[in-house]
Amino acid sequence: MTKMMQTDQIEWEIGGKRLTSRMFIGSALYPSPAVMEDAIRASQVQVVTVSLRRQGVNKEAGEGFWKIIRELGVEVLPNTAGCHSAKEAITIAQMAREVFSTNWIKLEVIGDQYNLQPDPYETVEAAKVLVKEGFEVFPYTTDDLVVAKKLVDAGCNILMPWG
Amino acid sequence: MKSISVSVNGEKKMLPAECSIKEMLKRLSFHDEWLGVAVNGEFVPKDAFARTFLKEEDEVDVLAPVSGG
Repeated sequence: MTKMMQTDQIEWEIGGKRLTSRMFIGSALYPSPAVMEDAIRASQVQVVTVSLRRQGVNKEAGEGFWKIIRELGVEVLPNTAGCHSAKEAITIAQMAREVFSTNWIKLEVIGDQYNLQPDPYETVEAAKVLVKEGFEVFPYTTDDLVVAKKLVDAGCNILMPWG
Repeated sequence: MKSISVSVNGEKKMLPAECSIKEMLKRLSFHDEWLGVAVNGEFVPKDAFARTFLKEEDEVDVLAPVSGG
């Protein structure tokens, strides 16, 4: 137990930030915002994934959620979920950088809606553009070695294989 | 007053001609502190909201933070 606690305190660096926790946690599919908040606190994670969605006219959608996340003081990793092309993903990433004040982006370009397999061609294209624009790109990719190499060649320092 | 028809998050909206993104957000009661905006698929930075004017048949996306995995 003591050994595990010591290991947990070892700092590591990812995407230009120094962390002690090695776990990232998603913020979706919790039964309520309160359960999400409790889970994030209990896990002691330092990185939480978030997203952007169309906001309904005359509504305050998202404000409550984003207020909770801000108050937790964690790093956020926005994603481009729901995108099916490099162009869409680039636009969402640019919006996310401004809204969430981070250059981190979990690049997701879906190639198959049934199993959510990423589209490697569009993902690599988007990664090239986003890296040039100063993003730290965390691409959601397949376990294909050639695609992985192309993402690294594009300037990605991190890969997030699906599975 | 001349008006224009634009699509905002997929809904048709009538707005006055010469309507900026800043004005559009105000008229449609968007709370713009934590919003991302794109017009015809192109990102528009917040500091350009006041000087970016909408045109007939523009397609505007207004996005807000939500949970995600």
